[in-house]
Amino acid sequence: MKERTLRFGPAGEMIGTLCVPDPGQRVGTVGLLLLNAGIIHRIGPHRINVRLAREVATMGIPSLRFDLSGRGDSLPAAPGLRYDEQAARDVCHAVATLCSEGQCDRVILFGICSGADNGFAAAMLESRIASLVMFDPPIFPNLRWRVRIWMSKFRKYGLRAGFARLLAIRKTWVTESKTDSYGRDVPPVPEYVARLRSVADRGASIRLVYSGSTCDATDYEAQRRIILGAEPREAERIHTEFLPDIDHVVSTREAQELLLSRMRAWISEFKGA
Amino acid sequence: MSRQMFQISREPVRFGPADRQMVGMYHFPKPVAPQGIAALLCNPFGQEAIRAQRIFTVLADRLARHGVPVLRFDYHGTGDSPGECTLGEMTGWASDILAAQRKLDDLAQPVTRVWISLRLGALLAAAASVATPASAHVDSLVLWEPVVDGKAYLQELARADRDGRLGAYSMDSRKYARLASEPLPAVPDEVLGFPLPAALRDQLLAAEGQAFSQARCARITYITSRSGDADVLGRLRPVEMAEDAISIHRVNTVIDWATTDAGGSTIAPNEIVNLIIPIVLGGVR
Repeated sequence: MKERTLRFGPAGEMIGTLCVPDPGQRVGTVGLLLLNAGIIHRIGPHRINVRLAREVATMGIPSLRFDLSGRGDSLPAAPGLRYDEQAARDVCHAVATLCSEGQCDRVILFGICSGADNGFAAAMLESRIASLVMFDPPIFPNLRWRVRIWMSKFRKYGLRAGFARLLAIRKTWVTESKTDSYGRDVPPVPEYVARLRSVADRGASIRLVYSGSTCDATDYEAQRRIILGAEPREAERIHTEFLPDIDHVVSTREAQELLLSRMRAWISEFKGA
Repeated sequence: MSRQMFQISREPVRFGPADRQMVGMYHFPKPVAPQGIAALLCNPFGQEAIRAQRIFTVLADRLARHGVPVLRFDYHGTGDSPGECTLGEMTGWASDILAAQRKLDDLAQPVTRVWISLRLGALLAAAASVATPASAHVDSLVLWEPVVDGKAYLQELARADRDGRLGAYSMDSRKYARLASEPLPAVPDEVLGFPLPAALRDQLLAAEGQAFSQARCARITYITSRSGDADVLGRLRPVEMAEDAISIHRVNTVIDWATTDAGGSTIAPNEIVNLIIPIVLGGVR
């Protein structure tokens, strides 16, 4: 395995680390692109992107972990685009870079939280994105989930602060369309599902993975029904998975090992499909 | 977007012995001509280093705009650098600081060398300064929120680790209750998602602020937000160092470095950046 730090993007503003397997280990023409999670730079939460990159290199797969423009080591992009548009554009540049430098023609994307959103937006634009692993995609809340969220806030901040917050937003907390998924905005469910299906319809596989920080088993089933409908149709290339022993930022070594193991399985499954 | 943003210039570098390679980011002095001063930024440990990435980047850009070339880097086996974090330990990381300074000397040929370090990085910088060659001694150490008691630091990390897990599972009442009832380990073997190998644990248990009394440099600047630290730090002065070569700055900005609950914060407080720049340029003692 060899690693190299690259500059890329229209003005060389982005920085990424290309990890390529040893020549004898190289298998196929698929690569893995690892995205920023929130404000964390390209190494990922608890360095998980570095570990994922080196793990998949042992499977013969090159990878690129990179910083979106203005994040981590990357310079800001030229002005002109909204944040989400710029992020999607950056991911597309990274796909092109991974394909040319890593000598691959199809790319698997792995993104946590906002990384999942940015990867999904790019998958609408870039046909070389053949698979998306979206770790903690947006939650579409039902009443039960909202109640649990507030119980957790009471648990965390205490009754007085929890009630004060609840009172402050009492008019909107049940009906608002925004989710409480780590502060992210998401479109209405039908629009989101239609976009998922459009990416799947062009042949990409999508895996929505829910952590134990965002769901319990009941919530997960609810999300699964929202995304896939009452009768899940796996043939549509949209899969869901619940990993209760991994938290949102893969905080423990045990959780990290589990995620590495799942990534190996997802990639094997993708390659076998 | 400010015009200054387009004047930033950074270049990735790889350096170090073949079996101990590291990755860094060199910030060119631009647009101001080099001032003969170069600054090396020394990371803290684990999750604290992830949290420090943003302010170190901002600080490096701002210093470079004042004509000070800066090297940021990840110790071997940490961050984006090659190597396994399961092998991390303080002696190796201190030697990494020396290798990074050699790289910075090659790139910038400075007359004055300043090391800016945070948390555990401060202990590593102090230890590394002792081993600098006479031809490339460090002139000034800036020690920000330095770890002065390794045992207390381990306990602090262990508490933060448990708080992080509780926060992660705050929606799961059963798991939350189970985690909350677990006693804190006396000596953890991982904290906040990073392993604490036996060698590192032992070094941390033995680490104390006396390391700062042995530092070899012309000037030490402590930066702390903890009111109780000022007296302790004031006593940590190398014997041969003049009293006025030590300064302690108390800052209002309190940052919880050891947390996984970043809450979207960017953690680049102006108070710190605006304090450190004149210290590096020599205008503030």
